[in-house]
Amino acid sequence: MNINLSDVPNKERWISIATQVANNPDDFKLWEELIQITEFLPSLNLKTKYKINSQSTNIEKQLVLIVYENLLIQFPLLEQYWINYSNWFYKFNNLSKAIDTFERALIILPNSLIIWNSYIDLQLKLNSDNDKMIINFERAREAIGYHYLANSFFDKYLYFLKNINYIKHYHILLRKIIEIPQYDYLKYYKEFLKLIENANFDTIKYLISLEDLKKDYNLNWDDLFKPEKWKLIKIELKKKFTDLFITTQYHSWKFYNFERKLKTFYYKPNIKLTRLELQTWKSYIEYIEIQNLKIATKEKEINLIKNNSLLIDTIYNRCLIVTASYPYFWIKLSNYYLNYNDLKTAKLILIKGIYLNPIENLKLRIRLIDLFILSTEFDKAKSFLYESLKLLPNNIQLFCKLLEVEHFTQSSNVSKLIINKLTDILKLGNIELENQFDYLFIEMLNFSCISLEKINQIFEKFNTKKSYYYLKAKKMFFEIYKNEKPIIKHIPSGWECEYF
Amino acid sequence: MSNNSIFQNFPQWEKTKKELEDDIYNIDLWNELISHHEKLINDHKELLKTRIELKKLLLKDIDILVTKFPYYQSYWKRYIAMVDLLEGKNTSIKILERSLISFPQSLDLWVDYLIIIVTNSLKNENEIKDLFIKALKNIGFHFLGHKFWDIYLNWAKTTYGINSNDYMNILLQVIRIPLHQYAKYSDEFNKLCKNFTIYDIIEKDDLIAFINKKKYLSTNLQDDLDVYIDSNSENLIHNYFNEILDEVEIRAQDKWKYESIIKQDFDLNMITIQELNQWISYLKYEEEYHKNTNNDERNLLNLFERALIPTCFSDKIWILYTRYLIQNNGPYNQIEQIFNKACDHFVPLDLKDIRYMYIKFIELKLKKDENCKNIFLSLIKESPTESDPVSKYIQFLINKVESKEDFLKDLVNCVLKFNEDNEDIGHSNKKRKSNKSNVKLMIKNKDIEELFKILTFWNIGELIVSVCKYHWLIEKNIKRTRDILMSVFSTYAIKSNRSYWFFFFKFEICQRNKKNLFNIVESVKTKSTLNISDINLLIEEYNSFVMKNFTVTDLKQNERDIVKNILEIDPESSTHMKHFLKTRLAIDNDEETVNKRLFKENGHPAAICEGVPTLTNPLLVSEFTFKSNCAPPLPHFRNVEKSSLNVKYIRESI
Repeated sequence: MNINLSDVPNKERWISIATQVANNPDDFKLWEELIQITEFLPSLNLKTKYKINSQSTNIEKQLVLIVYENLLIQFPLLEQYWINYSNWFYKFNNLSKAIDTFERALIILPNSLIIWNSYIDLQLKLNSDNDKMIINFERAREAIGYHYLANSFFDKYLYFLKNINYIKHYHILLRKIIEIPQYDYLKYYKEFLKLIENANFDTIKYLISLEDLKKDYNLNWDDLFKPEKWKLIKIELKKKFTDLFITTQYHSWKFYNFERKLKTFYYKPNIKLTRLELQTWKSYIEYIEIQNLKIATKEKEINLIKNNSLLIDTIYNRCLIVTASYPYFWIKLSNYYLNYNDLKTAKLILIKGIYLNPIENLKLRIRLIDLFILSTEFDKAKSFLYESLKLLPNNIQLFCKLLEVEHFTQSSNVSKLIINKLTDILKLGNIELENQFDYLFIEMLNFSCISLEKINQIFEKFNTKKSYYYLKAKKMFFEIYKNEKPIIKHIPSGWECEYF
Repeated sequence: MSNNSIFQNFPQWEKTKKELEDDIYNIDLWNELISHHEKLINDHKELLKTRIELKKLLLKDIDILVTKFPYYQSYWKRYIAMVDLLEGKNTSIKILERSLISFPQSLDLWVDYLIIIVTNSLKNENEIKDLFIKALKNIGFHFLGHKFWDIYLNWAKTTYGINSNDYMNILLQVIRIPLHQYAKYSDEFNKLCKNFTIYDIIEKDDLIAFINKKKYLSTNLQDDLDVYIDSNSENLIHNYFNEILDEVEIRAQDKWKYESIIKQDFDLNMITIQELNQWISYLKYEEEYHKNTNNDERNLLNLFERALIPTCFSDKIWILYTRYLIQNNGPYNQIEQIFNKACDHFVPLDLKDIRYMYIKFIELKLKKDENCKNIFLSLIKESPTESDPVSKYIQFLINKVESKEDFLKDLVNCVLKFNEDNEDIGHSNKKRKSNKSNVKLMIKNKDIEELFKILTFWNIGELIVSVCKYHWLIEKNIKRTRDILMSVFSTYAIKSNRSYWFFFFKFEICQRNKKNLFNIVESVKTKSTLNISDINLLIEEYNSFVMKNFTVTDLKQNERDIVKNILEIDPESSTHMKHFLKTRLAIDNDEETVNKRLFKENGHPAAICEGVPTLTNPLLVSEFTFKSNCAPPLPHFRNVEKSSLNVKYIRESI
């Protein structure tokens, strides 16, 4: 995209803030300011402010879109900004781009309630084919149907069906909704009772199938013409669905115990959550996981197990929008899949987590490498390691991992790598780093691929060293690996003083 | 009237005392209790004088406090004030004297005492003089010692007169000490010294040494020394003392750097590392200074004693102090006294270093092996969960015995005997019973027999470790070492023994024995009764070993096991993913038992819920809603009738 900056209105202010943003891409406040300024760019110096609109110049439109695009690359979890971004496309009459934007957002945030709601709103504006619209609604429902606050979406869906007079669909959807534990469970149950109450000979078919009618009550459609049977079936249905109501209510309340402690609903860069909230997410997730233990279900209850798994997915995804910068929950989700021996998904989760976390949260990276090793993908492990080492060249943890990978691929290389690294570090003249990397002397004792003679040689090569790790490793080596009298004199310290 | 009925009239008192029983280190509670008594005494002073029983009880509480924590200066003062109100001055002085016996390092208490004695002339001149000298020994070198010196000098001034030699002699002592207010005394000295002859204030030998050092006279003129001194006395005094006073000034400034930050008073909070380090660097500075000069050593010893006031619960300063004395040939009985004070009264039992040091001191300097053994035995008895004292004791013994072979055999027999004695706990299977050897397990060494009586299932395994250390590191007999380790593998004696498992693991790591390492970790994670963090540490070490030593084929074969290990040690994993933990927790070693419990207690740990209402045929959320044309099947349930049941709290008798 070529932009001629001279066409930009108020370009000094815009360039100044844009440069600041470019220099401090992690500073979300600056981004917010840039968005604000860009949206009102032409009217910055006027009394009455107005936003850029479809009549604005091409360059102004481009600027807004560019700013949003870059913001969302930097902070991909900002749900509302995705919606705004899509809205701009809509305003500029670029409908396919508006839809594309939502689709892009949903790849990153598949269970985001507000994105789905806005997406549906957009589709309602664009789509006049009811059946196609139902497919859109269904897609959304599968993604967010287990969201505790999904009532805003269900209302939209039911309203739509009612409006187009799809009575059968309305019945069946409502029947599905009342099974789901959620915040507004009571409203839907009441509505469903009304459907039973007002049922006629047509709509009764949407409430009970002929099969169940025969099996459970030994009746035929024709029998229902008898008033006493008609009355009976309505009472029976009410009874049956009251049981369902009790079950749904039970779970809705259990969930509420956790939900009421959650105060943060969207991602904010650099957000720090309270301990209570983090703890709540943890116990909420574990509560739902335990519901799906083998012990809790029977093998033939496939639907129950599948639904439970979906519920677990939803809860993890909801959690990871808010807690994305806490490696804890990424590892937790990855472990969830590891527990099912699904290394592939576990790795994908980690990759996503690494993308959304600052590099200092090394545990995610180290774990990913371990999983690469476990699935014998040594090339991937290595290339990922080298990439990480580019970011943190003198990180001892990463380097030790590199040695482990090397041991599997070319074990003769391990000792060479150690010697080279120690020599390189020595050249840097950084005492602190040198002491840190002297840990390698201890680490190398653990590799059986380095012979004892080789180890001895390495100790000799660096025999001027006096660091704690070096001396400790050397002592250990002679005492318990070579089983010889140590050549290093024991220096008494602490309570063992030398003058005894 | 019995004690109980008295307490009934003071519910607050009774309540606080009860709470203190459980929490003796809570100073807020103590304060509450003592304040309560003080108020009572203030309000009913006259009435209480006749109530001997109650009076005794009131004073008993604070007496307990200051006996337990003799360095609590503020409470001594409150104690004395209370006694003063109830019993009068004479008794309160008795308490003050007692406080000085248990806490002679306290500047404030000495000052209080001396003021009372001097202002009321409670003792004769000589007695008072002796008191001052005693005080000087204890607190004369305190950086804020001017409080004491002022009283001393004032007393001397009124008793002997300002121009007396006695007064001057005191002044001569104080000007050599680097005090906070050193200037006051050097000014006073400079003013007065003109009234004295040179021999009054400088010892002749010192003076000659000084003159020689400065080379004021060439050596062949020694005969004219007296003439020289007489004619130059004023100059000589000036030069001689200027040197001393200048040094004191520099020293006082140096010391101020430390004095201004250190923690001085005792309290019940554990001293922080930072505060401790401040003291240590101060003591180092002082020790260094005394190493290079021949100055009064009491200065340093006083500082050690002072340092121990706030740091008495840590063993660091005690160790520095005794080490200094040992190094500088301090008298043995003084060193022993300090050790006893540290071990018997101040340093808590979990800090073992000072005790090991004491034993070493007795062994090497006093040469009383029996005493060492007794201390070791009581140490082991008092810390039944720890292995370290046992290991140290065996090291001590092994150097003394003649036949190492018999000695080691005895140690192994101890463990076997322990297993035999506890067979019914350790092994329920009958097979072992028939196996039971008829050979009586003999323990020949008397010391080991004594030791065996006090060993527990936490530390009995240490014997095996000690034996194996000997075989491995000294005899270099790998096979023998392994055989002994294996002979007790998965027996009762080592089930809870951290050092056995860690030692075995380390041993096999060095031998790179994949199979045994696997077996060790497998046994630890499914059967042992070590604590969770120790088990997880071993698993972590094992995984790290795998990553460094397995071949690709090994790796593929053990993939699931390694994944399970990862899940086990991650704090992020949910409890139900920790398969080995669950196995260990289950009585029948079947993790499903624990799964059942997890499900029943879900959402409310330690409270059981029988039956969760469940919809057993829910509609699939992930399925297109309108797939079929007719109504969905009617719902089926489990446990709906139990939805309103309350959870049952587990009340296990502990």
